[in-house]
Amino acid sequence: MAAVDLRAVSKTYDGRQFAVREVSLSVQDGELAVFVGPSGCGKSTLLRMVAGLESISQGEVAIGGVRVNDLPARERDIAMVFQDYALYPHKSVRENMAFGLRLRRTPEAEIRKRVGDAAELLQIEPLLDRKPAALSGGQRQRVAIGRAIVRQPKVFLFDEPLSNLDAQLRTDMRAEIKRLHQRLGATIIYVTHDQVEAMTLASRIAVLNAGQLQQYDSPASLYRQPHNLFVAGFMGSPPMNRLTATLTPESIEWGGGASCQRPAGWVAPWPEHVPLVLGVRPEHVMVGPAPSDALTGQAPVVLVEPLGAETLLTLQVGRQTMVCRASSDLPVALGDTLTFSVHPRRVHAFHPDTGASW
Amino acid sequence: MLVNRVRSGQQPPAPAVGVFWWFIAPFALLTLVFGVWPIVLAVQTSFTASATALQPEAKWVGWANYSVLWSDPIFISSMLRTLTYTSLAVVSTIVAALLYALLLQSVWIGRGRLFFKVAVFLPVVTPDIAGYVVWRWLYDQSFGAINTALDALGLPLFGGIASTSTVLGAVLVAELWHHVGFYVVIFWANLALCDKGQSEAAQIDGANAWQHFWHVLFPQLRPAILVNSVYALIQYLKTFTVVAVMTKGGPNESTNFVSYYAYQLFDQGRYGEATAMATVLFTLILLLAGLAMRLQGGGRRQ
Repeated sequence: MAAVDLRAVSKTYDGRQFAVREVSLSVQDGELAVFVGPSGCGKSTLLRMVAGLESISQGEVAIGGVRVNDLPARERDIAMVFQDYALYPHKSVRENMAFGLRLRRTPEAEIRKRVGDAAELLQIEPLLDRKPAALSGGQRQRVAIGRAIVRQPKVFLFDEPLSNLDAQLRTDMRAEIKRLHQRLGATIIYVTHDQVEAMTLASRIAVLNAGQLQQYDSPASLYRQPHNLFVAGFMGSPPMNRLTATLTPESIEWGGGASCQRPAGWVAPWPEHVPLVLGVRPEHVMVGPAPSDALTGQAPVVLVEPLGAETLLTLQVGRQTMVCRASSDLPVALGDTLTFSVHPRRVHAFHPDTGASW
Repeated sequence: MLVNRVRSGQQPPAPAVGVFWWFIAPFALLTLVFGVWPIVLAVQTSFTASATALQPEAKWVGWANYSVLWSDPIFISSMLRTLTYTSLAVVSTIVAALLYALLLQSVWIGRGRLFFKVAVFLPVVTPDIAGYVVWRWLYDQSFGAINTALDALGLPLFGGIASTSTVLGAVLVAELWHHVGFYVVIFWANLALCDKGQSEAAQIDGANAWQHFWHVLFPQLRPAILVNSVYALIQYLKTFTVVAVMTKGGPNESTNFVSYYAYQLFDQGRYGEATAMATVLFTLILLLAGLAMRLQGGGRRQ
């Protein structure tokens, strides 16, 4: 097990086009770090640079404190689980798992033991003599994980391992990977575009966009204190409401004639009469009787989406909309005008030009 | 949905299928007239007496021409020679083409890739007779470039096509030069289809270049290896042009392959024996090709 350090790592094509731009972060020993972002954000490229499958244009990657920029993949002592499994189709499950150990001339008894242990852990013992073609998607991914485990590498790299599985299986495997991490105590870097996967698995999440690191933090901090509008919009489902607004001494003006009353005694940490972007999570928008210490306004309901346990209401606030997560018991119909309120401490403010947190 | 629609017969209209027969017809006709019919005639001729073979009322002699063949020591040795040469040639062709395709795919030839591609494929599109004439000159004992160069370097001279001990190798080199590009293209196409994910997994598993080739690429190259082997087998069993141009079966019969021997007999008016010989060769090729296709089928089921 080892820590992974990225220092100002960049990937350029033709020396101009940046796929990854000056990313610096540290993954501590035993940590499960998730790289998350929309497709094309550079998360997989970054992982592949750690793996040694892509060259590093600038900056430095260190594993266990040792600079590995110039080491080929096979000398970095890492193991990787690929999105499409990348099993060797002509080898049995057993041989797929043993291959890396055989290449490293591990004694036969040791190979047998490690493959047996991994197979037991992943519950694939009955499959050991099958070929990958005779396995389901979920079984193949277990084998791919097994192939990584038996190597006992310094770092595990997962490249969107669950993307090819159906929804139910994805949820099961997600839980299994989390258990596996707790049991092995291994350093894992995990790439996904799915923010739910990121939130549930990670000890820390690196949010990437357009090749740049937006924020690297624990899931809770990312949720509570997003550093910019991109992070605020990417994490959480449905994402944080983001509305342009202006503060006056008595109210928040949303434009289009809509406004919220400021509670008495609230000192806003942002300047007045300046355009801002305010962010509010749907779960922090309350409907019904407003507490006296909350921002309070009224808005018509333009969309009702019942989810069973709760209902998503879309409110028309001036020319903008605000989604609100309400109890499914609330009697509400399309076109009703509701009183909504938000605690001031639940409101995030961002610069409208840069998107940075105020 | 599309499948359902087609099945339920709504569209496309049934007559559309008939159109394809018209597209195929001209080529099918050409094949029948210039491909299948001559073969039928040749097989027929092999059962007639040579003296009457070309007359309208040829005299049937049953298997007589065939029994003559089995008692002809020149035919037997020519058949053995053909088989030996073919095995040697098929193996060298496959190995050379595979190595060359790997070279084309490797990163370290960089910008030279186009040159290497042209260099290997140009001989394929060069008329074979022209190529073999040049090779004959290269091998020439008195003024050939090869021996001139060896002589200048003070090295022992190369027998080329003049010596029984070197002629098979010399002919094989000329044939490889002419044919190998075709096999390289097949291998190259197959290499391009190989799964990149497996290669990356092998890199991470710790495979070196050889282990990567043997454990990852080679199993994926089975289709190309089979196609190339069958094609090479057929091609080398039929070896004729290179012999006709460079050695005329010599020196001392050492390149007298079956197809060239049949051609010689035909030239001497021994039509029955010549076509019997051709029929034996043809049957052998059919059997080997059929066997190879069956092996491939078995491999695929596995």
